[in-house]
Amino acid sequence: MTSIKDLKGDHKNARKRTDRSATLIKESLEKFGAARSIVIDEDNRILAGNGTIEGAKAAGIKNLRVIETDGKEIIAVKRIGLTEEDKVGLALADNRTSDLSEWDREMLLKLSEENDLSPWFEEEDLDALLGEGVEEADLPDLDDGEKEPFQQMSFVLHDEQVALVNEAIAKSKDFGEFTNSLNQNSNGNALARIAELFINGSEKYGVS
Amino acid sequence: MGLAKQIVVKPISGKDANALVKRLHYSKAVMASSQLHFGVFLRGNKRLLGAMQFGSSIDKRKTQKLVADTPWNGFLELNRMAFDELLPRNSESRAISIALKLIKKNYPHIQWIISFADGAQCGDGTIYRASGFYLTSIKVNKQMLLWKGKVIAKKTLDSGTYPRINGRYYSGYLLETKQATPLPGFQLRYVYFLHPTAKERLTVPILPFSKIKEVGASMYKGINIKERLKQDQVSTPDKIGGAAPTQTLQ
Repeated sequence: MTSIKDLKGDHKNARKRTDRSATLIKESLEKFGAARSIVIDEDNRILAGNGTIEGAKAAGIKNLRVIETDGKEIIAVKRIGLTEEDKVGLALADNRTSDLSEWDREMLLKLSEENDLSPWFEEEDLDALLGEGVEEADLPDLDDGEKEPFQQMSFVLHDEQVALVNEAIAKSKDFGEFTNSLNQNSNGNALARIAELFINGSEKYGVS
Repeated sequence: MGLAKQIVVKPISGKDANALVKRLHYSKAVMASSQLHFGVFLRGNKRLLGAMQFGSSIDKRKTQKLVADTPWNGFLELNRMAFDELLPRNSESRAISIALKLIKKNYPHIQWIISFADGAQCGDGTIYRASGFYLTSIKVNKQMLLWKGKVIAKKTLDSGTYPRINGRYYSGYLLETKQATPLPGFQLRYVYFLHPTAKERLTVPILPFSKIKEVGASMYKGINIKERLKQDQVSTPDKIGGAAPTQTLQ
């Protein structure tokens, strides 16, 4: 096998390139040429380096050299012909393109259902990416009764008005207990008494 | 990813629902009045991917009158819902449908559900229409204001957090002095009837869905349809709307 077109993409790849990442990979390959190796299996399926191969195709790099290994040695790619400036650029591009790619959440969720991802992900990292695992709760009781015949009313008053209202409430209470009221809130009763007096007149309380 | 049939809807705690809504809802805010919380999951997976929160309406007394003879606790508002993009297409309307069935079964005193679509920021209620809700009102937005370059709810400005100006609510002051302006757009009100007689007792007319386009209230995923047509060169709103849900709607 000597051509990248013989390689098969990884159908379980959980990383995806952003447009920026893909562009940067292509530009890096065009500017510095190929450097990083990729990993394939016996069936020529890409296990690592999908982005590199996509970038290589976009950059017009077709040739492929395969080195078989059983994992007991590190394969180093010895790049030659780079200036010092190129070496810095290549190294930065290599790191930056990785930063700019992102997790394919859909694939990661699928992989998390089929595999134990704990060696590579802390639970909170997966929670942040895929949502937290939560337990079912009991259905709450919802009130089905009628509304309580009490309401809280609020108004905005100026300080001077507050003093006036307080004084009126105090005077209202002086007229005696609220024996026939269904309300046990004394201020409410006092205010209602003032309203009654205002509307119905003062005869009942003997106020002129 | 997958089919909407693969979703499961279960009651969850308010804490879990709030966390998801704060993460995924466009407003990033929850409503304190929410009492009933449903979670949306993929079958066989515990990860929470969506939430629907039901509770009292803010103006319960006024809302109660929308359907005559409704008992004080005879209706609920769908306060918030938010869904992760990981859920299959059409999950939203299916999730609502399941939630409504659960409410009908477990809370027989609930006669109808009200909800609002924020056509100023989010969507015109595609999910509600796909879920059997009726459109009952389209109002020019007055509740969401643009202030200091940010969107803020009128009710937030009128809460105790902000000052009163000579006794007036702060929103009134900001609007009058042109420091804040209502966000352009519409608020759409939808109602779903759980009791068969509730629809007959509706005190306002049911509006045809075509009214949304007619008044220019079309909105999908936070983009006015007219604007979106320009951007995407999509020929009709139906092509991008239909039963396909918006990501989040309130």
